[in-house]
Amino acid sequence: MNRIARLFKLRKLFLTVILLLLLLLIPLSISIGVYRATLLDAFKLMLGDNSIPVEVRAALLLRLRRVLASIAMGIVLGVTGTCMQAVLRNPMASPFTLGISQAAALGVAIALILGIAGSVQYRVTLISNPYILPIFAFIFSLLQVSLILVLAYRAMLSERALILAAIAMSFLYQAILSLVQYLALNELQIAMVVFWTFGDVGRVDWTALKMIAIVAGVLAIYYMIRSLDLDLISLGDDIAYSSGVNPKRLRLEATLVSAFGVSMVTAFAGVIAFLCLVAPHIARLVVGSSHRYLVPASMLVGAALLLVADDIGRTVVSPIILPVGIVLSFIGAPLLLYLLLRGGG
Amino acid sequence: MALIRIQGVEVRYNSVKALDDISMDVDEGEIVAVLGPNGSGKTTLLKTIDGILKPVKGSVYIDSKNVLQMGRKEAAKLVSFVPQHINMVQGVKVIDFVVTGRKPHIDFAPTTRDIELVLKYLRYVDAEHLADRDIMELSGGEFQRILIARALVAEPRIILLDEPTANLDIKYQIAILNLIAKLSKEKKLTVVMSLHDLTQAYRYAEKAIFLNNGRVHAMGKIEEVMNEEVIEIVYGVKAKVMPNLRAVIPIT
Repeated sequence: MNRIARLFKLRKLFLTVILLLLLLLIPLSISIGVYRATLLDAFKLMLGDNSIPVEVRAALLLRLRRVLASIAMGIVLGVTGTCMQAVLRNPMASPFTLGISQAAALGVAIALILGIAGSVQYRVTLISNPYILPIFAFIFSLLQVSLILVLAYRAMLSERALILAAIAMSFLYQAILSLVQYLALNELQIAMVVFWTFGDVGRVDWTALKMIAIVAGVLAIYYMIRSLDLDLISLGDDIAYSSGVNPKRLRLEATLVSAFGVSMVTAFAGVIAFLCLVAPHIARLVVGSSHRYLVPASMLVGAALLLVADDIGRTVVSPIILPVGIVLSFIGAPLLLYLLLRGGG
Repeated sequence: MALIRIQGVEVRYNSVKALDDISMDVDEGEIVAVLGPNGSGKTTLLKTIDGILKPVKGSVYIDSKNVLQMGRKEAAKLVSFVPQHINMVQGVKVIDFVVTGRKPHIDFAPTTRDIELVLKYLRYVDAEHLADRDIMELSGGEFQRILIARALVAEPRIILLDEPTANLDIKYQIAILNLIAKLSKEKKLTVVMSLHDLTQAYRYAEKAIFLNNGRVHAMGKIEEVMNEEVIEIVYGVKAKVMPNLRAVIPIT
């Protein structure tokens, strides 16, 4: 049937266009900034050409790292948002609705109180400076996820009750964080916590980038394999079970995988929560809700959106670099509103 | 042995007994109506047959195998369940929705053959023209046909329908029931459906089971069990059964 063939072709066309756009954005993002390089320099860097001067190369490599970090994190945040919306059957769900960002921020504050943000030595193991805050953020996010899972499976809470419980816990974490800030932290430490919650891709170093890239790859494969199952679970537990998918197991598995990915991103880059909400909805408005197309589309939209937001953050009030979390909300919110109004909600 | 055998099944929702000591046999190609007032256990029985609900006592056998001991995929190839409601998601096209019914046969992604089958069954329920429409835009009758097409693409031997005529106008009610009768005849499909309308059950089912408070009140050939006494006890309503018209009308 021609109309169906055209529908599938259109969806594939959108995926191809946004992929090409993303590939084009890479050299463009590398070339813009305080030091203006040419697109040719950017291409040369990407192709490993050694003819560019060393100082230019060093500056561009830093930008390349930012660009790749934005793409990897955009993929993780975009796809986990889509997945949580499906398994919790709630368009407002995202891994952050489960209280991960607040838990992570609390972890950072606690690391600062304990005075171990510099380095920790335990017997012969020395964990050095840059990873202490991420590790605390990561541990606290995972603790929150475990708590959510216990609530879901031991107390048998429904999806809605689960979101409500998670929101309640987020407020509790926020209250503890405020209390800690009020009573125990000095101005510098408060500034560190606040700055950490802004979300900034510049903090991701090469090691962190490699870890996030691996996580992004694993998540992409996992969700592509599970795409039809995500279609089924979003229709209802009974219909999913009847078609051979165990909804409880899928929900557990998908929540764990998503939470792990998001905790990793949050630990290294801070809170970039809005992307989880905005990327899936923009993707859905264009390719529809079939996860076979929605999963790759939300990964690509997430990556492109985060990259553009970071480019704007780097250039709009240059030489000051604005944290990407702030810029993203400035671009994402009006964009989502516009698409919702245009698409009739 | 019968295609579906239910033996001494008891199902509980926490401490509330929803089904109590239910036993019945359904042969291949039969159309069975599950009847009874609201809350009598009709939907629970359908879900128990499909293995969605686990009985605390007794067992359900499909083609001589215990449904709970089969793999979910294997069970899904044999039995399709058509629920009364689904969670409607915006942006899902009819083709995307119906292809989810192929899940038991799909390992990774739907193939061209799966899509062809979807179109074939959409044609069968006279809904091919709706394939690229959003499921939120369909009328009640159109959506019911799509739900049935979704169940059929798994090419099951048994189809369980939960009140397939609810919320439909009379024209669509007849169209859906005619479609079910056609399926049973042409595809040798075994049909178990819960119904509220006793006249429809009388006209389309071969066998009926009357449930009352989770227990079987009457069961057997439709002509034998569809009588005024049974209806009055089960529903608490006086009714006139007219065998010549195959109709039941309440008398107030």
